[in-house]
Amino acid sequence: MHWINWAVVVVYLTYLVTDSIRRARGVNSIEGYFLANRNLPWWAVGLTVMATQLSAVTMIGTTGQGAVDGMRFVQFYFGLPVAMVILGVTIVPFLHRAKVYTAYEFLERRFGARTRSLTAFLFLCSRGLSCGTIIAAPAVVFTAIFGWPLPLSVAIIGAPTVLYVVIGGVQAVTWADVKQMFVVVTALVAIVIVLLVKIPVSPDAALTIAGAAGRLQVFDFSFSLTQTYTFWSGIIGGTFLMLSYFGTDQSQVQRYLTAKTVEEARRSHLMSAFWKIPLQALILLVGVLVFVYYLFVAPPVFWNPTHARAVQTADPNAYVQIEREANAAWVRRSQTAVELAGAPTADRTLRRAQFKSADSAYGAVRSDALKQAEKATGGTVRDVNYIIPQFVLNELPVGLAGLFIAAVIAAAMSAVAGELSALSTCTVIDFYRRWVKPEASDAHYLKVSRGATAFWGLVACFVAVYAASLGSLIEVVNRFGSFFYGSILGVFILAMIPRARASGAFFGLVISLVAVGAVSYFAPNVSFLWYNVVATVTAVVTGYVISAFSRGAPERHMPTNT
Amino acid sequence: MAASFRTVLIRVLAAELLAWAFLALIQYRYNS
Repeated sequence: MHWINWAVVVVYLTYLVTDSIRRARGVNSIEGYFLANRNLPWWAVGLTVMATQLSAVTMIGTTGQGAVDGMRFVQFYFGLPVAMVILGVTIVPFLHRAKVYTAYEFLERRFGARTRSLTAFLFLCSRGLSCGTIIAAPAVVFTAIFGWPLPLSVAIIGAPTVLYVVIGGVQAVTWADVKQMFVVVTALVAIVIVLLVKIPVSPDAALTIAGAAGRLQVFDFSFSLTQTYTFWSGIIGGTFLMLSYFGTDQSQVQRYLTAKTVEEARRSHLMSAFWKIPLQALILLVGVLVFVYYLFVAPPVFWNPTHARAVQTADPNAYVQIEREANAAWVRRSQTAVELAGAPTADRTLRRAQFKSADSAYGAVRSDALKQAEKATGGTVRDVNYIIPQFVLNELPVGLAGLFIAAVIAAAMSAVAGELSALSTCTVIDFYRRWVKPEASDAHYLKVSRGATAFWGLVACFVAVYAASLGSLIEVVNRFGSFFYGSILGVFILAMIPRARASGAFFGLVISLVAVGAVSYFAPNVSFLWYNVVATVTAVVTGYVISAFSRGAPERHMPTNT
Repeated sequence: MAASFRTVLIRVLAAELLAWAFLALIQYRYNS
């Protein structure tokens, strides 16, 4: 990579860390460290909510998905806007007015320590591991492309993040996230502009070609429990997932607890409600345009350079053969694309069919090439995450490539920073202060909080280094998260039902976890988005029924929503 | 003054419908 690109990355990272630490000066209490003294403006909170959700996987994985699969992934977010509005009148005011540090702390007031500890424990297990995978995804790509050792790639993302979160807490996290979102959006818009300039046909013709290849198919109205990206799974499963994630996951709850007032917390959520779908569409559009770009410029057969090297080493003749076939298929596809772009409307149907057939032929050559790579590497080969980095490094102008790499690192850092801060808060508030040392000075808790942040930072980096070799285990970890999201949402819904009792909430939670486990085991093809629906409904129904058979008055009353 | 729940819901739904309409237009124009 050109030295100017590196300079952009280094200057950005240095500015980010030093400015975050500078802004966090004077943090001398745990309320300041974990909640910025509940004094942040809504727009900063809104940006940090979006930045925490947007990770490096979004920047390189989702854009790559746009290139190979088109726009339909955007349906995943169709439930988000309504979920944000619902949260604005339910969980957000309850938690904000309760003056809690964590979502789970609120559950103790309503259902006792048992339910609080179990939900907090589930959060720590899942997020502690997933934090590592957030770093691992871009680190593995950097390692393959730049040839760095994996621990170095992990350190470049992890070390500055841990540094500013340990020192500055949530204040540093928020102001870093504001900058991260600015860099991410600027980089995406700049890439779209560059692509439109570089693609040698008009934007209208480019979209016609993308449409012919099925990349602009957004809506899928089929009702299938096994498909993740359909309109209905997005609307129904997505709403439940977003309610769970934004309403009960500490990494998001902590964001809006830092807002000055309930009204500002609500407004911060509405930023995502209005902007998440357009942002996601923009991210996917980058991928779609990259697909069109490589119809006119020969792409590498293997997006991941390590796959190319492995096939070349294992069977040099096969590699030459693959390259030859891929090139011939690409030339044919490119010709049909040009013909489609220049075809008069009357001719379009025929040209479209020719292009589709050439595109399928190229796809077949590519999938044969990937099979060769699987044979050579001995593992499953997926190279979607490498498409955009290859494009950025080889095709973007000097400076802009650096900006994009900085944006990828920024996205990873902002997602990890939010998680680290939340993990530390949960460890200290829900376990250390609750069970180990309930009476201690603020200075003591602050010291322990910084230690807990550093500890989780090390765990994340450790998991990230080993994540690459764990392969399918990481998938299990990611699925594990979706196992209990809906269950925890169910407990929060029960908390708002006056007749619900502690035993109902606890056993509702446990039974719903078993129900999701059973669905996953007996119907493994059901998409994870439906787990949230199954878990929430099970937790609420069983929790309510058990409560109905429980005697006595509610143990505690939740704070009123007035 | 804070907007009521109904007002916020209508605004958000209107924005979402607008986004869907835009995406549907692209799909209709280029994908058929």
